[in-house]
Amino acid sequence: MRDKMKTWREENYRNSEHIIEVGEELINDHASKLGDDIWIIHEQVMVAALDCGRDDVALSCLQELRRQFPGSHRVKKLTGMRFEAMERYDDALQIYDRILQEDPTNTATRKRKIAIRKAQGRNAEAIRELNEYLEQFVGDQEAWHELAELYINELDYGKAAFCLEELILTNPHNHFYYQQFAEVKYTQGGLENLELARKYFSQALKLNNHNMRALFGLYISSVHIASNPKASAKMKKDNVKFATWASNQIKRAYQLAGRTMPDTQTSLKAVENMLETLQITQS
Amino acid sequence: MCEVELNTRVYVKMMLHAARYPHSTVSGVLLGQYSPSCLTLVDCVPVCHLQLPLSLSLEVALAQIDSWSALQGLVIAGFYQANAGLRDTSINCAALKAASLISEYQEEAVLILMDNERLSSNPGVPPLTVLHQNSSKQWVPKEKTLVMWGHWEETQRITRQLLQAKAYKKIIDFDNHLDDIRADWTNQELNVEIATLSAAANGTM
Repeated sequence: MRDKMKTWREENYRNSEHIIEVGEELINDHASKLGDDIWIIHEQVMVAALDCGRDDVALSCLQELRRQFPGSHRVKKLTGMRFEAMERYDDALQIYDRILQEDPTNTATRKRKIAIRKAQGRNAEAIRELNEYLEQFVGDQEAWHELAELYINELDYGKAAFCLEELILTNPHNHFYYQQFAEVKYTQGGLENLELARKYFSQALKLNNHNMRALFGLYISSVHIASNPKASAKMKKDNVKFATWASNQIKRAYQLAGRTMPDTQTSLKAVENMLETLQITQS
Repeated sequence: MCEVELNTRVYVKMMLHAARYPHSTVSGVLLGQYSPSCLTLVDCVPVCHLQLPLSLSLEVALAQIDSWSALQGLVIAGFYQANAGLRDTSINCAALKAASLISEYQEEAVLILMDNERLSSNPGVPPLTVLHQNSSKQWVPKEKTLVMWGHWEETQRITRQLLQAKAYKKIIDFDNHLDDIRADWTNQELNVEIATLSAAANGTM
């Protein structure tokens, strides 16, 4: 149970209901065996409780932590988060500002302030503050990704693509960033962007050949390029080849999946139909 | 203008989808049948919970859902969305685009926006707004008298039962399907459960 909580914590799982269940049991029945781990579990359970709206659990964890660590910034931040959960954003901001006065490099607290902007629906301000934050902490990948998502939600695809490029540079082996960059380019549209999208989908697939989004992406973007009137004859020929390869791969993946799960038969049929209808538009 | 009727399965699946991902914007496709004066929504397919208005996975989803629903004798007749923010009642542009695309094929298509603040296991009145496209192509709330609910009391009770049983863990949307293509986005298992619950309700009456 202890190890379970540890992996959830380290991998940033958002399975708050489970965390509360397991965490409460640990705290109530096995507290003596946990040693100093108990405090980090208290913190973990508290955040999960806020996520589920279980203020009773959150409060009891918070009180324990306050007793153990009076004056700790980390605990004060949790107090702020509880205010956030109660939608008392001004109180939360006050706490965060006080922490930042004493410790201007407290990144977690600065992120909370940005999260409040988001919760209030003030995306433009969140974007501005996050940009200021990234000027100081340029290596914070989580922040770059958050900024990319904010831009996508504001439909500013150009800037979103920039953030994702930044992430690809620092993580050249993470297929997910390639795939997301390609999706942004694909959404932007136009022959050049489609070409780029196709290349990045392929790269994502190369890094992880189980990435279905990249596989569908490769297929659809090459079909679109092949049917684009501005594409040259060679480009068309190449892309028909890519599309055929991708469609065979898609079919194979669904057939393999179908072997273990009979339910996917209908799904396989749907995919085949889809591949057919998309093919027709190509000529 | 035609009437819209929503049945139990549509409502239950929308609610479960919103309950599984309370922290993100969820959306999906509504499937229905037409009769001359009425559109009956009988099923829905949850599509996204990764909130990003990017077109690729939606395109893949719509293409697959379209061919699947044709086999079931249904058409894609609308789109639904529940926002991530509690008070956020705006319709994002991805949903508008999707709904407008659908209404190019189905004139009477509807867009359903769930009202997060009123979502509960006992909402009384349906916690959602049904919108349709007016003559100038804008999405406006449909007149309440034109929205019908099949077995509303029973629907609420089934929703309550399933929420208490944490059945929302079982609902699969297209994002889950693309992560693992063995996951069944038609949610047959849940359909059976919903059917059993409503059969039981009718049996005791």
